[in-house]
Formats: sequence, structure tokens, C-alpha cells
Amino acid sequence: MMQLVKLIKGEIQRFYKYKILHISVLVSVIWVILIILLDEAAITQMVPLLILMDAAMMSIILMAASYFFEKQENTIRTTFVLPVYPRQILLAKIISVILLELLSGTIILLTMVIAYGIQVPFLLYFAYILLIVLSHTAVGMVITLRSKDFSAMLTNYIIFAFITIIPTFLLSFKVIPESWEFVLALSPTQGGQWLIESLFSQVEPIKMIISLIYLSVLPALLYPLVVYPRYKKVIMGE
Amino acid sequence: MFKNIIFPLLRKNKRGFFVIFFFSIFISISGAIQPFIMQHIIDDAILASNLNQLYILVVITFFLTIFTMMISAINEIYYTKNSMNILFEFRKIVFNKLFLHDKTFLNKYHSADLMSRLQGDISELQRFYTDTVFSLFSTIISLVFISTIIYTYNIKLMILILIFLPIEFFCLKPLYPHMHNSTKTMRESTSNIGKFFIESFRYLLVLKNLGAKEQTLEKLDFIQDDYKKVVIKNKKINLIFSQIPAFISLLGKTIIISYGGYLTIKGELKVGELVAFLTYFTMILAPVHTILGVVNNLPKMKVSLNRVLEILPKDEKVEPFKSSNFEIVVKDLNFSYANNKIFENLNLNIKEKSKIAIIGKNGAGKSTFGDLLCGFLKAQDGNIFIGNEEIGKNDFINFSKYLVKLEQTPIIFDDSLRGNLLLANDKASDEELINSLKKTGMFDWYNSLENGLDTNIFESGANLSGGQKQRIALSRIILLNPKIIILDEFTSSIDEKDTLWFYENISKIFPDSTIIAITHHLNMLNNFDEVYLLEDKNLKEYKKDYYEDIGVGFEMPVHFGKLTGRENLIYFASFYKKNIDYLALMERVGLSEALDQEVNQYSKGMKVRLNFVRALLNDPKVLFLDEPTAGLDPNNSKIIKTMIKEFRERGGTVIITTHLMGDVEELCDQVVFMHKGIVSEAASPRNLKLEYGQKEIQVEYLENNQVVSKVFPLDKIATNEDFHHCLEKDIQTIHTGETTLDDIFIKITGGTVDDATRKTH
Repeated sequence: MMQLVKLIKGEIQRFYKYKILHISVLVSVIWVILIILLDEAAITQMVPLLILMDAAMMSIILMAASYFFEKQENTIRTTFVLPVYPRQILLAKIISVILLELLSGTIILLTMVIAYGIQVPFLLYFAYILLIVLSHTAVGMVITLRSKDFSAMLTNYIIFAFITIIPTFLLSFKVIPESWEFVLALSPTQGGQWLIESLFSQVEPIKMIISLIYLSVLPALLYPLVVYPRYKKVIMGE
Repeated sequence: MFKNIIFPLLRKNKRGFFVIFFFSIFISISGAIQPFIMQHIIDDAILASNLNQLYILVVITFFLTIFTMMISAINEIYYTKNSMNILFEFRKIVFNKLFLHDKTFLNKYHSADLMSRLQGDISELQRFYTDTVFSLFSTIISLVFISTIIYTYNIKLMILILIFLPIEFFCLKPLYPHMHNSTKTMRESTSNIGKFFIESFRYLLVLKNLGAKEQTLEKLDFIQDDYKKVVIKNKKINLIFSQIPAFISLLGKTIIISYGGYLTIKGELKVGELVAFLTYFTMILAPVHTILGVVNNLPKMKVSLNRVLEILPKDEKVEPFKSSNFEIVVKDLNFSYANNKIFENLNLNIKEKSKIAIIGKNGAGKSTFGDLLCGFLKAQDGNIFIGNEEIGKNDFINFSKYLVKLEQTPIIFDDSLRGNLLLANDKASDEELINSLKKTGMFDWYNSLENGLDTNIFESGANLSGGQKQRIALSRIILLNPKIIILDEFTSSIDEKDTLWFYENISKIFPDSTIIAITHHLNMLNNFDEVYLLEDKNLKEYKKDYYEDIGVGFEMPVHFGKLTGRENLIYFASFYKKNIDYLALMERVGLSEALDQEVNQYSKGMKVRLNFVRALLNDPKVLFLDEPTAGLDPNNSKIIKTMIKEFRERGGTVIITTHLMGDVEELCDQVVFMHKGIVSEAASPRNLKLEYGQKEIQVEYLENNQVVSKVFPLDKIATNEDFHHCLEKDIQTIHTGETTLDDIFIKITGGTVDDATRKTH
């Protein structure tokens, strides 16, 4: 357990040193500015999307950055000969990304509370962010581990975003007809959208059930069955 | 043996023997009657000119002979069938008993030797106990019958004939010990030829690869010459054995013809009676020779009996395995090979369904421990329990349902895929067989087989990789689904990819079984719940943080570039329980000034030094260094080398991978040259130089104001006249021609220096 804590601390330290933390906070500040500048009427429509964008899109980027920085500097080798398990190394990455996303979520939440007095159930808010981050980082790691380098990963990520994330946003802006909603449920982002939306407005129970099950099952399956074996194989190959 | 094996077999086949016995008596009597009829043909028909009686007697003789021939033929078939039954059942009983033996037995006897005992010696015993003893009975009956007939002709002649029997016996008696020894030697020699061919066939390609064809053929010549000598010696003794009775028979015949002729001339014996008498004498020789043959076979049988008894187990107790729990408890276990103690008061508890790994140096006794758990070896002292049952004391029925060992080398039998799989569970359906293949990732391969489960995989085994063979062996174990599985270096003959698959999947395939893996793969230990290290004759719990004891210095920079040297070292050091003062190390390698600089700002040499410090952070016992001085200036290189030497002096082990032979000479006790992934040479630098070095002295002297250079071999330099002659000249320089490790490497690898594949430890 202590080794895991040290690994997480190391990840956070590197997020700071490599300015990833700065970028993450900067993105949150941009969201804050956007929220403040938003018309009050658009708040309940836009804020869930901003929270989702941050949790879903940023978490994948953070996870990939953490992995590729380490790969690029060969420190993955050094870490692998430390008295730690590969699963601890992976877990530390996931937890550190979750922590960063929770920080970002807290900044957005505080802005909503202070600027507009919008109250949301805090525990549910963080629980939903956690689910969104877990499911998206799982998919993100699958993409990352199948990419040669960071730029290849970005290309794959854009393709993934076009297929899953963007349609959810387009649906929110009613560019895509609502009849497509359940087709989009195949995308974890859509599930995340329903969860976050439920904090601000009424969402049909069936959508909530689908989202909760999907976003819980997806990481529960992907991490042990796909991500971890692949990750272990890749770092052992190093 | 007779009471426990032979007699029950004879009793089982008694009906056949009674029939044969009856037929044999008929054949003997029929044979004995014919000279009697012949006598009447001569005396009462031919000499008495009685044509009617002649026809009757000739017809009787004709049909009696035909009838005897038919009975003989039927008897022969019956006899062969019966003998075969006994031989096969006898061999099966002995073979079945061999399963009760442990590993020490298999280590003691070569397979060819066992084969020779099961084939040659058992046949010999069967022949003696059934054929020979049986023919002895019918012979004695014939002897009594013929003796009675002869007695009716002339009592004096009958006594004369019977005298020859003891004479022959006593003449042959001194030869028995020679016959015994000769037979024993011949059996051993035959077994040696078998051993030679079994080994040579198995390792034919290895012998070819080693260029040992000529040596092998010479060995064959030697073994065959030895066999030839033994056979000729045996033949000589056999000849004496057969010629002595023949000579005595000849002697007897001469005396009987002379004496019988004398009686006929005197009118005391009729012509027909003399002819019948001579025929009976020839006939009586056959039973006499049979009796002598039995006596002759006695020493051979004794040798065979001893050879078969030697391989039979002393204790044949087999019990059902009754325990319903499968916790393994090892109590005060002691085990030795001769005087070499392997385990001393070893104690261990392995819980049911746990997955454990056992590691240790070669020869520490890992496989022996596996064999003890399987009951293949018996401990001299202490106990091993699986649940309530003690292992090693008795054999258990169907033990493989509870405990199975997956061996190092996958065994594929000369059979179909189905036959190979059914060995584990002969009741398994085709669906179960295919499912077992699916679980081991062999389903695609199975689908590619034209004849499916009926494909002979031994014949097509050449196309199977080691990994695939081991997967088939694992499929067999899936069909058994045992409670305990022992994996003895089971990935030693398979590639890295398959090794990874096995270690990652074995626990998933057998979630409800206890798995004990004996392994060298330290990087796979994460797949196990507990790890034990076999060291100092005992098992110790091996903490999974074995990385605590190793330090790795990579060639390439392996630090976080945006972090300072200090931050990097503090971060990495935080994971170890034991730390060395990194400040002192940094000062030693001349990096104390750069401690708070970002590593990105370090030069290549500084990064190499930082790598070295990082490797030493946890005060490791084993240090792996990849090109530790590459890119360093001579001063820094010297510092690193001094530190490596100090580490060695403190008792640490260092494994260096480098292309700098100077470093090797300075730092290493042992050198391993690797070329194209193969170890080309492994020795100490000094021994390598002694083996490959040029031993010569170069002398340069002035002659006619010109420098002349001469090279002399170091061998016998003291008596080299040319060298002494040179010494009288105006010498400029004398030095020895020292061969470097670079030269040796080039020599070993055939002059193809390939840095990428050259590794020196």
C-alpha cells in the first residue's frame, strides 16, 4: 500500500514538474471563465457538457501523457526494477488522473456554487466524475497501448472522439435528432452525459440505469482483461 | 515369485495344460509303439513270409503316424497359444509392478536394461517354468515307457543305457558355473547394445551437431566387439555342453551295437528285436537330452530370475486415497542423495487452492522437492501429508486424480491427438477433449488438423513447437482436473511468448487447484500468492520484493528529465527498505555539484554516472550493469570501475554487459561470449588467454644497421637455438606477444564482430 502511495506521489510530482498539472488547472480556469461568461439561461445546458468534456476528454489525454512521458524517458524500465508490482504502477497512474480530474471538478463545482448558487449533490457529483474518468481512461489506455507514440495516440484519440464524444455534444445541441439517443448509448460519453445531466435536471430512470451499469462494467472489464495484460506485456517488452 | 506370479498363472491356464499334457503322452506312446510294430514287421511278417500280417502292420503304422502327426500339429498350436498367454500375462504383471517404483529406481536402471529384462529374462523364465518343466514331465513318462519296453527285450542292455545318464550329468556339472557367468555377461552385453542405440537415436542430431559421428561409430564398434567376444565365449561353452552328451551317446551306441550284434549272432536276440532296440536307444537319447537341457537351462534361468527379482518392488502396498482435504503439510523432512544432504528438517504448509512458486539455485533440490511431493522419491526421515494421507509410504490408486506433475519436457506419445489426450481420462468425450484444447489456446491449431482428433501428432510432432507440445500436455491435465498440480520448470523448453502465456493463465485455468511451480523465472513470480526460496537445505518464504536485493544500471538514460538528480534519487530510493547515502555516492562519482540540476541538463557522461548511483541506491547484493563506462572520460571511468571493484570486495555479485574488453579484463572473473544469441565461450579471462592466446616472444635486433624482427614460439624457448643465437646480437627490444580478449572474441566468432550481439559478462 505504501509503495502505491509513493507511486501516486511520484505521478503527481511529475504532473507538476512536467506542467501537466498546470495545463489541467489552466483548462479548469478556462471552464471557469466560460461558466462566468455564460448566459444564466444556458448554464444548465452548458455546464454539464463542460464537466463531461473535462472528465472524459482530459482524463484520456492525462493518462496518455503520463504513459508516453515515461516511455519516452525510459523510466518505465527503472520503475519496473523497483520493488513494486506492474499493477501498482498502472493503478498509480489511474488514481493520479482521477485526483487531477476531481481537482478540476472541484474548481468547476465551486465556480457554480459561488457564481450562480447552483447546488448539486456533492457525493453524486464526484461519484459520477469518478465513473466517467474510470471508463474513459480504460478506453483511453486501450488506445494508448495500441499506439506507437504520443502523436499516433492523438490521431487515434481524435478518431475515437469523432465516433463517441463529438456525437454526444452534437446531440446536446440537437444537431443530431433525439431518436439517435439510444444508439449513442453505446458511447461511454453519452452515459456520462446522462449522469451529469441528472445532477441538473430530470433524466429518465432507464437512461440512468443504462449509464450506471455501462460505466461501471466497462472499466471493470477493460482494466483486468485488456488494459492490464497489455500494459504488462508492453512494459516487459521494454 | 513362483508362488505369487507363476503358479497362479499356471493354475489360470490349467485346462490348456491338461490338454497339452494328454496329447503329449499320446504322442510319446505313439512314438514308442512304432519300433515295436517295426520289430513285428521284420520278425513276424518279413522273416516269417507272412504277407497278410505285413499289410495289416504297415497300414496300422501308416495311420498311427498320420494320426500322431495331426495330434502333434493341434498340440503345437495349443501349446504356442498357452505359452504366449502365460508369457504376456507374466510380463504384464511385472510391468504393472514397475509402476510402484520411485524415481531412484528409474535413475538406477537404464531403459534398455529394463527392456532387456522384461523381454529376454521374462521369456527365459516363462520358457523354463512352463515349456521346459512341462516337457520334462512328458519326457520322464516317455523314458519310463521306453525303459519298460527295452526291459522286455533285454535287461542287461537296458541297464547299460541307463548308466549313461549319470555319466553325462557328472561330465557337464563342472561347466554349470561357466554357463551361468557366460549367460549373465551375454545378457548385460545385449542390454549395452540396446542402451547405446536408445541413447544414440534420441540424441542423433546432438551427436551430429557436436561432430561426434566418428566417436559414436567407434563406440558402437567397441560395444559390438565386446558383444562378439561374449557371444563366441558363450557359443564355445554351449558347444561343449552339446558335444559331451553327443560323444557319450556315440560311445553308448557303439557299445550297444557291438553287444547287441553279439547277442543276435549267438541267437539270444532276434534281428527285428535288435533293430527295435537300436531305434529305442536313439529314442531314449531324446528324453535324456531333454533332461540335460533342463539342467543346462538351470543356470540361465537362475540369472534371469535374479534379474527379474531385482527390479520387482519390495513393497507392493496400494491403497485408495481417502483424504477429502488437500492441504499439504511437510514435517521435519530430511532427504539425501548418498552423502549429499538436500533437505534438513524442512517444514512447510501449503493451503488448499493456493498458488505458490519455488525458486532456488540449480542443484538446490527444487525438482527433488517436487518429486517428494509426488511420491516419486521417498524421504529418509520426516513426513509429507496431503490432507490425512501420507505421501511416499504407500502408493495410491488413481493418485493422478489428486496430484499431477507437468514435466519440463512435454511428452507426446506415438498416437493420435485423441489417444494422447485420453491417456489422462479415457472416459472423456470428444467435446471435453476439444474444450481442453480451447482452454490451452490450441483450438485454432486443432481446427487446422485435417483428421481432427485422429491426427497422429507424434508423426506431425515436428511441426509442433515446444510451447504447443506443452499446451497439449496441459490439456491432458485439464482433463484430469487434479487438486494439486506441480509444475517443474515447465516452460524451460518453450519460447518467451508461450512462457508468458503459461504463467499468466495457469491460475485462471485451474482456479480450484493448488499450484506449485518450480521455476527460474523471477519475473513471473507476481503470478503467485507465495514464493519460497530453496536455500541452505530448507525452504524460506521469499518476499516478493526481491528487487530489494538487485540493482540495475541501464546503459541509456533512465531518469525523469524534468526532475533534478536529487529528486530522481529521492523518488527511487523511497521504494527501498534499505538505502545508501546517495549524497556520498554522488560525491564519489563527481556529481554532487549537479544534484539540484534538472537531469535534462546533464551531459551523457553525467547521466551514465547518475544511472550507476541509482543502481547502488538500495545497497544491492546483485548488480546488473549495462555498459557502465560507456561515454565516460578516463577519470570517471576509473572511478566507476573502482566502485565496482569495491562492491565486489564487499561480497556483491556483478553482471556486466559490455563491448569494452579492457573493462572485462579488469573487472570480471568469468567471461561469456555471445554470438548471434548463442554462448560461444565461457571461461575466466586468464583461461581464455591460455587457450586461445599466442604464446610467442618477439625479438628486435640490429644487423647491418637495420632493425630485424623475429618471432619465436614460447614453447620450449629455453632449448630454442635460434632464439639463443638472437640474444647474442645487438638487441633493441624483447617482448611477449600478448593476445587481447578482442582478438580471442574475433577468433571465437569467426572474425565477425557484431557489437549488437556481443555480450561480455
